[in-house]
Amino acid sequence: MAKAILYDASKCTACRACYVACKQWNVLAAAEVKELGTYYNALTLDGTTWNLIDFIEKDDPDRFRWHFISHRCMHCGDPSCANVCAAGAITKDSETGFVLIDNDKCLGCKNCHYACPFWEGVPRFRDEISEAEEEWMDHGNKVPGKRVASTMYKCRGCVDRVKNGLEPACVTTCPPDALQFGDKGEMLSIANARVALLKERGETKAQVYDPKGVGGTGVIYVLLDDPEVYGLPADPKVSTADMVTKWLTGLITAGILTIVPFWMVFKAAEAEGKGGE
Amino acid sequence: MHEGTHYWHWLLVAEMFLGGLAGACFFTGALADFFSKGKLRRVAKIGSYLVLPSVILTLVFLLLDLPPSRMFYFWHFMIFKPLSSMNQGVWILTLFTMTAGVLVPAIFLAEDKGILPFLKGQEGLRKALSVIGIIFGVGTMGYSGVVLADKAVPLWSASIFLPATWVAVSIVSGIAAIRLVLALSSKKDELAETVLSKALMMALIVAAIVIVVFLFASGDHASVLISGSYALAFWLGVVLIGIVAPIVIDFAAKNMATISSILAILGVFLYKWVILYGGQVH
Ligand code: SF4
Ligand code: SF4
Ligand code: SF4
Repeated sequence: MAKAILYDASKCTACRACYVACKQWNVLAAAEVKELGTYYNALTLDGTTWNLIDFIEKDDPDRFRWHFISHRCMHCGDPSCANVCAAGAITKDSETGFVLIDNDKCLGCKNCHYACPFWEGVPRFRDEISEAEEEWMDHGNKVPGKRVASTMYKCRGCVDRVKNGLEPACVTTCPPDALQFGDKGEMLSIANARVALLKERGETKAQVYDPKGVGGTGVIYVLLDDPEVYGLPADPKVSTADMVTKWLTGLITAGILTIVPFWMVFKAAEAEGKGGE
Repeated sequence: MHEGTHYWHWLLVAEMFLGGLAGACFFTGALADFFSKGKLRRVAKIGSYLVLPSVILTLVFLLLDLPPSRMFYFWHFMIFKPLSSMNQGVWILTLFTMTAGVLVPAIFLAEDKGILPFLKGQEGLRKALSVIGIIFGVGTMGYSGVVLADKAVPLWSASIFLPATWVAVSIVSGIAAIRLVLALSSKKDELAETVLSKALMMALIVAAIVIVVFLFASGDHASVLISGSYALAFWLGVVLIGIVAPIVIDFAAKNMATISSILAILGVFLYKWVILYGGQVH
């Protein structure tokens, strides 16, 4: 049964406990932050930052709003990152549906980063493994995921916890239950019920985000406004979906657009006296 | 308030440029030989001799583009995963190198230098291998375009035409490279030069048309090239230096094969460069 993490933007207080819990459970070093005079901690997802809370200011006609959104791997039903990986390093866990990078296989080519339709490319490169991680692996601890320098990293859905009957670390820690975890069907009904309630309360744009173009996602959102407001694509597609058509445009360019003039030009050479050798 | 990433750099441009060049050199040479019924055999020879050095350089850049500690695990890519365009590229390049980069040039070398005498005069074999080489040559020109086009980067993927432009400009580089070698060689060949200058002009026009189609189909996403931060490189480098100048030079004067070929090749490199970099502007 596919699992899902539900992030409810209408409940999130932007406390960023999820961010800390992820770092802690996964032995990820703290990100270097700049003082920007804002609430940002991590500015972007990176090799040691697998989730973060983004802050969005929006000037609605009736009021000024401050929206929060969790950036993280969406665990796509049809993951573009896995489709493009030439090393077969990314797979979908059959039990949970979570999309996992095998860092032993990954070559750090970054193809997956550019294929991912979310958050400017979720898988991020990391050059170094920290001492803490080395030590932790020395103790034979290979969950959650072996660490290899110069490969790609992203959220692993805490599969190691889930397979041992726990919730993902970010979910467990979330104080207002803005993060929940369970079977996808169950999460969807909670989300739909919540959206109905929000609408009743006058949140006319409240909606569930579980985009069909990527086969649905293993992270679903309850949003208070349109996806674009949060930096989410309204209708993301599996990026490899029209690969064959794209190949065809290249083949036609060589096979027709070029062959015909080539034939005209080169055939004329046949008639010209002696050439070649 | 989050920063984008810019992972792919000029090493990848060089890799895509050289791979396209290898494919196009063979494609141009072999078709010239076929369509002229052997009159342009020398064009085919030069084309096929250029394949292996270009492929070797492509592989060098491919390796250099991987992180040093992962470089020598490149064989992780040698699995069979036909729906990954990068994996397709690995196999296309392998088969192309074996046929167009090794076997066909070996048959030509047997004729020119007398080495490997058992290959001398194997015309039937050479033609069969050339047909395969032409097909994988197109694949070699196209795959790196598809590798960009099946991404979530709007400039690369919003239209379906990036691979078309990739093939079209690669062919320009192939013709220009063979023409350049001929122009620089001591043994002149007027027929080949005349024919290649015409072929180059046509290929430049085809490339221009395909690029226009690509830009239109990309809509707003193409503005980074048309009026955005890569506009100067695009208009000056790709359009003026790479396309207009070689056409004008070849129209206006004979004996300018060297300069017009170099400009055309430069334009192709710059085209792939502006696309790779322009796509990563956030
Ligand atoms: S969100 Fe991106 S990284 Fe995560 S599964 Fe989907 S395509 Fe892969
Ligand atoms: S960076 Fe690693 S996981 Fe991503 S596509 Fe390349 S080999 Fe696969
Ligand atoms: S599911 Fe686990 S790995 Fe993913 S963001 Fe939450 S804590 Fe981090």
